[in-house]
Amino acid sequence: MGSHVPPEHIPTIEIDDHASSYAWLVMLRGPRRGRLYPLKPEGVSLGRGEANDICLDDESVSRFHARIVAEPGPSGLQFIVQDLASVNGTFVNGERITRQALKDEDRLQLGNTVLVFKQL
Amino acid sequence: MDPSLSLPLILIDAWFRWGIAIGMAITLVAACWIFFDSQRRSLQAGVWRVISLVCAMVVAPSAVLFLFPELASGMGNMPLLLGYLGALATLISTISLILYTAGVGVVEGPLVGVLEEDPLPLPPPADSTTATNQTPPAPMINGRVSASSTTSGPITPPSAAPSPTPPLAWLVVMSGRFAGKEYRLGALTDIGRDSRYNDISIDDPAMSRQHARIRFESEGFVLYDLASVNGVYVNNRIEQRRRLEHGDRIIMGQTLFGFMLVRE
Repeated sequence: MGSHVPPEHIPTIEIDDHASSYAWLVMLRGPRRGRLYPLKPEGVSLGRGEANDICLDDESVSRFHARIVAEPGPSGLQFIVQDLASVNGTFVNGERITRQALKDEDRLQLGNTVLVFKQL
Repeated sequence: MDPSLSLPLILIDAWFRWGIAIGMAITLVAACWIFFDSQRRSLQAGVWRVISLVCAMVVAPSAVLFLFPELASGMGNMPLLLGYLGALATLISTISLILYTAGVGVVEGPLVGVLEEDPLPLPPPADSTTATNQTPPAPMINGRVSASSTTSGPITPPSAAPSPTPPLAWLVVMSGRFAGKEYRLGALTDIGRDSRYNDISIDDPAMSRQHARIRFESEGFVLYDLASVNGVYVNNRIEQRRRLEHGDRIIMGQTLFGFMLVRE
């Protein structure tokens, strides 16, 4: 196909400006399995308290448990998780961390809640 | 004919004087209007089409008798009967026209042979890197596609039986007005321009009404082109059938999608 189409008619796909923020946390284990939490470039906070951007209904999660910030990286935005001195700790792929850069498919555990980091 | 039946005779006299003309006009208008209007608006109004056509056909013999009165001489009570039927058909046709217009029993659906509003063909998309370079956060497209496709392995082991519940996967709109919107993928997801037949409908004039389908199969999520006019591109290659991996970029019409899959 396409042989009858004038060559100057090239479609351009406009990528939205916040394209680099196509990142999410997906709840794998917790009260809302399959729930998608978009990560904003300006950062999100996670915890049991309702003031958080991502509010986790889990008793083992501290009220202000962790936050995720975005920094410019070599290819788009780099998302970094920081533990906010939580009682039960923040784990990435089973290891307790205080500050850790996230990559696709990383398992983030807060209390009994498991989230997976996804980026497009 | 019985002279005591004055009222029917008056009626039938009126019918054969000017009633036929009105009846014929009403039934023909109703039949044509219902037929062409339902076709134009892609409505399934089979009942009303049949009723209005039958009514027009019932009135027709009276019209023939009106035009050729000598035919009626040897037919006994037939003209009377036809007159009654014609008047009844006119009434039914009027009612069906009213009910059709009111939308009673009308189903929105595809009609065979309606091809009026398919999109204009587009040339294959230029390498999306050229398009994306115009916008600041472009390195996304360039770097991430190849990187993610190498890191993502098979979704299910080859020996595994088809899973009844598909894993967590989303189709993410990455261009246009709905950029950032995520659509959860189930066992079967249809994508197109028309919200009536699709799970994901995008208001993109370059997209076909029924453009593509994503089905969860034993090997994972598989994307099928549903004979769309402008085709389906996965990572800038036109594809008829393609197994999707996390990070795949899909172009349908003039809309860019990203495929997101959670491996478990």
